Amino acid sequence: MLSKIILRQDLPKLVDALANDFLVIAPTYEKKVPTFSEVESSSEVEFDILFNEKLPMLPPKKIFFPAKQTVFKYSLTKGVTDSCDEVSDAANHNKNIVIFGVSPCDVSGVGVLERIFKENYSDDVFLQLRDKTAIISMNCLDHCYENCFCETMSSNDPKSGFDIMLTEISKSKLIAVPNSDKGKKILRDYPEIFTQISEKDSEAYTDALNLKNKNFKTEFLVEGLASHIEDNFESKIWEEFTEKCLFCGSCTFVCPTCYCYTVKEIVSVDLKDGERQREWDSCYFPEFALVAGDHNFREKKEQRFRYRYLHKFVDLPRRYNLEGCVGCGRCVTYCPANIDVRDVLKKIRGVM
Amino acid sequence: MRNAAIKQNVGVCTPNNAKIIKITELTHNTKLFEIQLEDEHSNKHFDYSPGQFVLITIFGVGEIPIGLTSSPAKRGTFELGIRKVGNVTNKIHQMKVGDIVGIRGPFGKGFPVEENKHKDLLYVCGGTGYFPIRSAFKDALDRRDDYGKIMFLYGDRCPTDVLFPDENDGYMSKDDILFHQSVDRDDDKCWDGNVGVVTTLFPNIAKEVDPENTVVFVAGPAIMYKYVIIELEKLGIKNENIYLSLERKMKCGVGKCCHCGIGDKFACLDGPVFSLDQIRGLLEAL
Ligand SMILES: Cc1cc2nc3c(=O)[nH]c(=O)nc-3n(C[C@H](O)[C@H](O)[C@H](O)COP(=O)(O)OP(=O)(O)OC[C@H]3O[C@@H](n4cnc5c(N)ncnc54)[C@H](O)[C@@H]3O)c2cc1C
Ligand code: SF4
Ligand code: SF4
Ligand code: FES
Repeated sequence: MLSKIILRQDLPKLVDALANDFLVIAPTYEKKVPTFSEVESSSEVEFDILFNEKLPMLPPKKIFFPAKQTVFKYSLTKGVTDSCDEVSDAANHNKNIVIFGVSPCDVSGVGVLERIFKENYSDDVFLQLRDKTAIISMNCLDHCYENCFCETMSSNDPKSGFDIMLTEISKSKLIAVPNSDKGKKILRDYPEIFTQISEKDSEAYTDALNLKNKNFKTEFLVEGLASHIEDNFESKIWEEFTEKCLFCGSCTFVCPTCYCYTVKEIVSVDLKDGERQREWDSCYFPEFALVAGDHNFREKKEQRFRYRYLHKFVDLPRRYNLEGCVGCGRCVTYCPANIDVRDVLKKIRGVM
Repeated sequence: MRNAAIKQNVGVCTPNNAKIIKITELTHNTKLFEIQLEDEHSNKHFDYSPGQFVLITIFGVGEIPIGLTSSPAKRGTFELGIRKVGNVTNKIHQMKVGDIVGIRGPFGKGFPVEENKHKDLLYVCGGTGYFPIRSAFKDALDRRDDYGKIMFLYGDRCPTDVLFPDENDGYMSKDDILFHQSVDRDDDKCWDGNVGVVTTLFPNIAKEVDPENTVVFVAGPAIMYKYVIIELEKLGIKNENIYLSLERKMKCGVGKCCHCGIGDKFACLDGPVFSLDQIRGLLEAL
């Protein structure tokens, strides 16, 4: 069998073994906030984040698509000197990367971004980092907290995008199911940590998945949502939420599927060299669609509020045949104005 | 539509270094730049359709979208017409022949020139909208026999803003093109042509237009579109035969940064040229 067993008490051993061979990124607390960080040993990892199913504030998108990153460097008079191949974060990490303890919804979130960054014109800066990375996911057997609605967005059972899925089959044991060549290799490479699976373990795994299937409930109907939003484009509901919104952009920054960015030129003090930096942007900011001559294509706050929904729930599903939201609930958790994406959608659907 | 993305060994995020070969002053705030990619191979394969755009980088200042204005038949170099309106465009206007800029692209969907062979063509443009239209127009003139009638309506603000006056005079004297131009205002009384907005030129071509066989390419300021569409519909031209180039803020040009979103489309990927049919189904388009 390719699937293996790992004891819960051996998870730190796994992290330490991986840290010898990979750059390991795992859940930690940074000023009490659950955060994915680079770790050198298992002592830095907060395993309770995994088992109490707390979502790190920022999803793993920050690893492939950092809040700020250099795209290329140049001389002001001679042009590009170092293309993205030479300056990207991927080029600077000579080790491959393992992200440990990613929830299934976040795996789906990475999948959304990967698809977008790959399709049409592939974005080397993102993909170089993604290609170097293996993801070890930690399965959820139940809604992790009150803001989670992953089942509604069909994101808690990703079919790809992770290399190993860990599922708890008892208080002390997890099954490690590989889902790619990279994952299979990791299971083979650490035989002292991953052990053979018994028939009883297999049964326990099936029971766990059945339990998962029973525990997760959908909260509202997603089928037909795209056209429903278009049909309600002029609805008063948008205004109602717009009045509450502070347009701080928090919801877009913490979102695993939000990817819009802007670019800035950073010039050296001697005005000889520079670099292009890209950084996260938000469609909630007034300058987002502002062009020369003070013309703003989304002048009204209401248009800006609405666009995020239009893009996530209309454009992304149609363009890529995938959900533009994974139901992680981060935008709900971190919204200072208590705006709940579920309420907006339910009102639009007329079920609230 | 040509598959125009040039093979870029530097990836889609990094511009190709390119040299300014020639600068022509068009008006007090508009210049024409002739540009050549430094890399021989990329330069040879730089191919585009009229209506497509590039992102031009002024190193240390910024990057902006500019429509290609030369005919695709012109190989080895290409032209960009740029009006001074802000930070990056001001800096471009200070540049000299030999200076290095960055070029990404060409990107986007241009005017459907191949799909409409043998049709009559009507171009309508205003202001800097002349630039992308010029590429389509020159393309049609380069293979004149591929098309039926060619009609061109151009309007600008005042006589000193008029772009390519010499080229325009040449077109007006040709008998296989119907070229009409106008200025909105002529305060100094130095214009001997039509005065009025571009829609006042329509009577000149009304009798020439066969609505079943005419395809229209439009580019100009957003406010112009509404009025032009009314005129085109009066002529009986179907929405599916009217193509407009839409302007939006752009940061990536390749469907990633989201700045150019229009309804459920991106101007950089799905446009900038859209049919009026498409636009009717797009929220917040016009
Ligand atoms: C597809 C397309 C084709 C275009 N073709 C031409 C052309 O042929 N000739 C021409 O003169 N102009 C053209 N423009 C408009 C040109 O891009 C803007 O005038 C230019 O971006 C202004 O930059 P700025 O830094 O000088 O102005 P600022 O006001 O200082 O702009 C700041 C930033 O906002 C963004 N921005 C501002 N205005 C626009 C705009 N209108 N469109 C997109 N981004 C904008 C740019 O990223 C710019 O760097 C085109 C725009 C688009 C979208
Ligand atoms: S929109 Fe909200 S719930 Fe959906 S993926 Fe983004 S942060 Fe999570
Ligand atoms: S986090 Fe809340 S207040 Fe801030 S922009 Fe998003 S919806 Fe508006
Ligand atoms: S310019 Fe970035 S998505 Fe269109």
